[in-house]
Amino acid sequence: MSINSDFKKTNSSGASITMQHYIFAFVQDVVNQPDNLKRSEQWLKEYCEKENVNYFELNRQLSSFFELLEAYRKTKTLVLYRFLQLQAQACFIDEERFALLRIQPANYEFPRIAADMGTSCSDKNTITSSHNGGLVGGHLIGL
Amino acid sequence: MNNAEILTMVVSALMWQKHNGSIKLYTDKAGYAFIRSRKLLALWNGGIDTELLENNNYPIDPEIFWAAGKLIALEAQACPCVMLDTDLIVTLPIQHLLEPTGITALHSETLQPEVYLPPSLLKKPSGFSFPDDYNWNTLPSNTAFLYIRDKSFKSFYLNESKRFMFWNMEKPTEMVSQMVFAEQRLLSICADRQHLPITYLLSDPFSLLNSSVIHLWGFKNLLRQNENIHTIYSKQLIEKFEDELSLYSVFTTYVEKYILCK
Repeated sequence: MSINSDFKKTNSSGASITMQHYIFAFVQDVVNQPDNLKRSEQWLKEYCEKENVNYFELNRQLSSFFELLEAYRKTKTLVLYRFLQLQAQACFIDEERFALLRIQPANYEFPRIAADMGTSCSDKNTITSSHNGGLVGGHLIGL
Repeated sequence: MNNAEILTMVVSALMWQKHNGSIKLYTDKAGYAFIRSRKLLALWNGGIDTELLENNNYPIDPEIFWAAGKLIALEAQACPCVMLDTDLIVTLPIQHLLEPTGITALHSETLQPEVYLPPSLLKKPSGFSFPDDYNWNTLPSNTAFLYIRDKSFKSFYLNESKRFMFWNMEKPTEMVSQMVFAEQRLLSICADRQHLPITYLLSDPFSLLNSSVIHLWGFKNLLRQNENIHTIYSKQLIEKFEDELSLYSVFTTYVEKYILCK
C-alpha cells in the first residue's frame, strides 16, 4: 500500500524563475514593508494566473511561512530557523534567496554547531530533560 | 497527544519491530481506550498490558512521579529488556551495540541545578535518608531508551527508586525535579554504586554523527504550540519513513486518516 501524499503534489509543477523572483520580492516586501501588502498580494495573484500556479495553495504556504517567521522572531531558536528554511522551500524560495531575506540568525555560534551539533541546542548546559526546543536526531528527517 | 506525537509513536513501534524485535505496550484503561479509538491496537506485536498498571497499588503520587508507570512496567519485564519511550524512534538494528553492555541508556545529561536538585532540596518521605556512598557527581542518564541486561541490577535500581518515591507526597513547586531524580539520576548513581559502567547510544544528543535515534524530547512543547511546525514535522517524518513502512497498513492507514486528511 502506498500513501497518496498531498505533501508532495501541491504546486509540484514548480514556478518559473521569473515567478520565483517575484515571490521572493513579495516576501521581502512583507518582511520589510508590510504597508504595501494589499498591492503586492494583487500582483502575486496576477502572476500566479499568468503562470498557472495555484494561488490559493501558494498563499496558504506563504501564510504558514509568515506565521513561522513571527514565532521564530520571538524565540530565535535553531529548530525554528530550520523549519522556516523548509517552509521557504515550499514557497519556491531556495536557500540562496532565503539568505537574502536577512532574517536574524538563531541564537547560537554557527561554526561550532555546524561541525558538531544537530538541531536546536545552543548550550551544553541545556542538555537536560527540562529544555524546550530539543529534537534529537532532527537532521535524520531534514530538520 | 496530538497527531504528530501519535505518528511518532506509530513509527517508533514499527521501526523497533522491523529492526530490533517484538514490542509490548504497558498502559492503563484510559490509554487503551485512546489507542483503540485511533485503531492502533495492532501496533504492538508483543501485545498491550493494562492489568499491571490498573492493579498496581504502590503508594506513589502520580502527579509528582508522572513517569513511575515506566518503572513499574520495567519491574514486571524480564531481563534483558529495553524500555523505549513512545516519542523515541530507533531507525537501525542495534542489538550488536547492546549485547556487549550491561546497561545502555540514551545519553548522559548535565547536572543543571534547577533540574537536578542537590539532595538537601529534594522532597523526601518521612524517615528517609540517602546512603552516604551515593556519588552525587555522577551524571544522570536520559532513560527515554534504557537497556538492562541483568535482573540483579534492575532490582537494585528499582528498589532504590521505590524507596524514594513511596509515601513521598509533599508537592514540589515544579513537577520535574523529583521524577528525574527517581528515574534518571538514580539510575546513574546506582550503577556507580555497583561499579557498573553505563554505555550511551549517543555521546551527545545533538551530534550530527547520530545515525540511529530520533527523540522528540522537549520539542513536544513546540509541536503542541504551533500548527505549522506540527505540519512540517509530520511531513518530514512521513517522507523519511513512508517507503520503509509502506507494507505496514497501521502506518499507511493512520497517515491517510489523521495526517493527510487535515
